[in-house]
Amino acid sequence: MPTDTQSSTTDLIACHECDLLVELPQMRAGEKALCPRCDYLLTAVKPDVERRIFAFSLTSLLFLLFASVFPFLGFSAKGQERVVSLGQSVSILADEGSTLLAIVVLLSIVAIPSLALICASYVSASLISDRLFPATHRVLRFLLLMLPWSMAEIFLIGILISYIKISAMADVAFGLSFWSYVLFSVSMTAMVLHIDKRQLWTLIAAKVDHGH
Amino acid sequence: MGTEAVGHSAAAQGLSACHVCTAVSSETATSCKRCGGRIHSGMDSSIQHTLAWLITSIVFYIPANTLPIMSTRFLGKESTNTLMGGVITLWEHHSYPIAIVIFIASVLVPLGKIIVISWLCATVLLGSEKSFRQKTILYRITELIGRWSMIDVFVVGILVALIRLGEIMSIAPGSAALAFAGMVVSTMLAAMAFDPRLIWRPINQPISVTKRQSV
Repeated sequence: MPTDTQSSTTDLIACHECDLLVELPQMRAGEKALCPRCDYLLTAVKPDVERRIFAFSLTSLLFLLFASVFPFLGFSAKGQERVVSLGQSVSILADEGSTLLAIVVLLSIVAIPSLALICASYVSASLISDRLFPATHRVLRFLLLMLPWSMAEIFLIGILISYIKISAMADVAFGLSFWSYVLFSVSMTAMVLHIDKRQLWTLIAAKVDHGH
Repeated sequence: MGTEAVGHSAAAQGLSACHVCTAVSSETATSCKRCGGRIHSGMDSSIQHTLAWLITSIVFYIPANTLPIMSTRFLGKESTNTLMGGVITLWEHHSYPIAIVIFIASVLVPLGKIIVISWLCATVLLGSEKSFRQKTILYRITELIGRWSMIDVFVVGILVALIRLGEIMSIAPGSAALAFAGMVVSTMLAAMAFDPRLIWRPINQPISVTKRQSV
């Protein structure tokens, strides 16, 4: 970035947790800056960030799509067998009298993650293209709001615990969808690890300036 | 610019960081020039909002622990289990690792979160002037592990969906499951509402203009 006086303000950062005003040094890709007072991670500069977010978002979306069409988990005991898909398990939960619970589960394991992924691919594609797409700011703000409520990895631990609980009395089979969901979760985590607020907003701001 | 004193509190110099994109603006600005987000120092209402969500989570915590989390029908007989009852059953069946995981994620973490956030609010209100760093780290851990309490909600969901062998055995969700989910969400919102910069306020007192160094 050119060292003109206008951009000097962007190198200042106030620690999100202790409010210490810090002047960031010139940072290279792969470096991160910690608050000297409370050790909070101020910013981390990720290499090739827009391409990686785009790639991981699309990969995650694809695996999530696979995860919703094939059998998810199988269950067999006492000569009976059951196979459920991801969608079926949510609708069974609703049928069993807890529609609200089914909505909470659906939101945290499918709806919010897919919304976040769509937003992430939009923002990263916007950064890759020559000009910013409309409403990139709003989409990124929405993405940052969604992220804490995406709980794919917690759902996987839930499956693991259920498996241990059931395995004593029945056989549990993991379907193709389950493995897709695992890959989706890994890929989505990789995407989230590339999100640094300051870096993304700086890239967007640089593009806006460039456009004028 | 050029009058900001690096190494001092931003708020003490009339500056405020944007929560969305981290850009530093004047406190008097109403929207961030980098991301267009609304600027507010937010510190004054933070404790009120945190306490409101804390009370909500305590209200959810009681039914989440006393009502049945799921009911099991086995060969026509129906039995219900509370959260703690489930942990005890697992322990009696020698499933120690899962009993411990569920006990930590479903009982200890939510309770610990409620206690830690209440304590942080209390120290802020009393104007405590020690162990700023330790309190910040405690807050960080609390915010990080809170979402993991959702594990039990998912376990109930999976068991209900999978174990449906008609008359032989089936599981239905109990009303505690929803209360529990509400509790997790409201403790997460309480942690988000708490502004950790309040911990540092006693040493972030305004600095005089003459003390400002040029950047």
